[in-house]
Amino acid sequence: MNNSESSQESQTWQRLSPLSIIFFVGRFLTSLIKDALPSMAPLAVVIFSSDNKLGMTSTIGIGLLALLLVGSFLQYWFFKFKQQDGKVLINDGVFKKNHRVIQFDRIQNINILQPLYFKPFSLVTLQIETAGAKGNEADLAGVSREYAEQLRNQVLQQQELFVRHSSEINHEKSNQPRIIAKASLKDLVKYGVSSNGIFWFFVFLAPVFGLADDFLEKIFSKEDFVKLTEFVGGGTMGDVIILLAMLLATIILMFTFSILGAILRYFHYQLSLSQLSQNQQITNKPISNPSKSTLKRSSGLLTKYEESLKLQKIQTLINQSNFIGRWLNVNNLTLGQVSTGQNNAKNKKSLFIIPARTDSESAELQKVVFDDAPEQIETKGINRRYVYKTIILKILLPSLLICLTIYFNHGPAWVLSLPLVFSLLMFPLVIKRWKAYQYGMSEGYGMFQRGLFGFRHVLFPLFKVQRAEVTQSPIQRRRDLATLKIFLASNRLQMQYIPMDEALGWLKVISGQIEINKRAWY
Amino acid sequence: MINSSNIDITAVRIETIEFKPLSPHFPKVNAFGHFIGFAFIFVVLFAVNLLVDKIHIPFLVLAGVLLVTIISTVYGYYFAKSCQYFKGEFELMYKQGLWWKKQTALSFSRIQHIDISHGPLERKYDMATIKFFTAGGAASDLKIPGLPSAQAELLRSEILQYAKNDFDGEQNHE
Repeated sequence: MNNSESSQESQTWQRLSPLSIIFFVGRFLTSLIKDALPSMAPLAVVIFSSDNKLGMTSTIGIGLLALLLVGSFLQYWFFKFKQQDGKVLINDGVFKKNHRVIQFDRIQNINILQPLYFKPFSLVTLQIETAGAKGNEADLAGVSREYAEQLRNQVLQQQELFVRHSSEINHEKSNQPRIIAKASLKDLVKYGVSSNGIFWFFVFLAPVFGLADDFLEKIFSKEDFVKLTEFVGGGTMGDVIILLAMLLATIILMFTFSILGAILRYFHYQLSLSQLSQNQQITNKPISNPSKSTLKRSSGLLTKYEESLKLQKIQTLINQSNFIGRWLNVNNLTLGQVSTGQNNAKNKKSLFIIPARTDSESAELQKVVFDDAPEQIETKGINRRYVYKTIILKILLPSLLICLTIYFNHGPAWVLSLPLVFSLLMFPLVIKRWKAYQYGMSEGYGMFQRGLFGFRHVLFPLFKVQRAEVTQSPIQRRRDLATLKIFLASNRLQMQYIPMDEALGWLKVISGQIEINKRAWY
Repeated sequence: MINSSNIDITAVRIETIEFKPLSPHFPKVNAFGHFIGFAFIFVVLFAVNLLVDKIHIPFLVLAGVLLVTIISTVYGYYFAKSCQYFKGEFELMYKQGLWWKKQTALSFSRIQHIDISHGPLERKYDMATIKFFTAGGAASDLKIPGLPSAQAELLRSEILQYAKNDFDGEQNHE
């Protein structure tokens, strides 16, 4: 690709497609619901206190709708962009003007999305994400697919240029992308039940269930409920059956939503790897150069997502599963990228998930992502004092405090035996968790593992560590134990109750790895 | 030298590192910082007790606040004494803590940028706080307070020089 030619082509300022108004309407509504809903309360007061409720509602409704449409149109009108010398320039804003300059080599991810409403017009949204500075990202909603792909390729090539010798770039051609993972509908169902999404869903749904209660009470009177209980056998047994049925219905509902979510997001999931041909690799680097390989992912049922990620930017490989996943024998892989660390929602978005892999598929993918990592890293467990600490400080003491309070407030004496019973019951779980804590390093890579019913294994190249820290509490000091904390650009890891000299050894090895490994961490 | 082949972690003993203390003025400045916060609360409570007729603050509460003020001041003094740093060939180490001890290692090549700030008290005693930013988000930044100003400046220029050489070296390597 001749860079100067294509950048000259796009020297003039361009507008998005007029259809992007739909996108701006959507964004406006989302921000309205998220931020401005409480401030709409005065409007409701105006409606309810007026004599002509219908008239007032429709007036306000039409006013708001007009505001929405005019606002979105103006946003579309003032949104202009162009590309120039390895930069994307964006001017937007109706009252407050923004001028954004996004350098190609600062772009972390460049994704192509196709929402349903753009499909008939073969338009797409080009999503540009940068690492670091917040607010320096952009959505070009409503550009042609050809333009989006051309810009994406240009960005990827420019980054190549940045990393490598400039003279080589014109001679090389990418190999055909190799498909390295796909997910069938069955896989997505497995992902739906084995990702922890369902628990979040439950948390989210709890308040809604509170509403549902009131709603159900209005529809079914108490008599109806009694009849229903009698229908399934009556008495306590009937109550229990209804309770169980409701619980089952909730769980089924949870799973259904989680599976639907997985299908919506990952339908026709395909992960491919584009790599430069072997003979064109820089010779003084024996391993295949990750700066030149790009993972591409396409998926989505209604909105089609196309995302790309350079292997070099991957900081961690997280292989995890919950108890259902273990039972179904599937893991979900997450590739950790640099996160801005300022916004949780944004961090979630920057996760690159590869759903529903078997153990052998995970191992294959690991070879692609970190090709110089050892296949197996020998790990060892943490000190057993973790068990004592957890039982005493986290279970026995808090429950003792609660039970003493109850006892001194005229509670029965047997309450005092509860902390002990509770601790004994929790003991096997604490042991299980203790055994799951494993850590190890080999050939420049570190591995941290934890889990209870599920597991979470994190593999990371030591030279990508940003900072490492060893802390020691007074309890740990007596046994010369310590907690090792590792800060990566994607997330932070922690291993507690390991010998102090080993923890300090990790600090030393990490520093050494950073020093000898001159590869760019990002 | 550590190579990238299989590493037996227990074999990599940390050699005795000569940590350097911070500015000799730092303990008293830090103690004062701890003192002033609680002392303010004590003075306000004491004044309310004395001047407002309807409010009577129990003696025990006042004594408690006074005790916390003293403990916090003493703690601030000795905590500052425990803070030490070490500038190695290619990394910075920092340790602090009396009961909860913490030791941090930060490689020069992972530092994104460096900030030096001087508070009013720090200016009086010619001290500075130096902050190293990394790409790991706010949690992974390293802050060293109470350094003599000249030392902070020197540390910054040395590390920036290292980063520059490192970058040049990388370019040549490519």
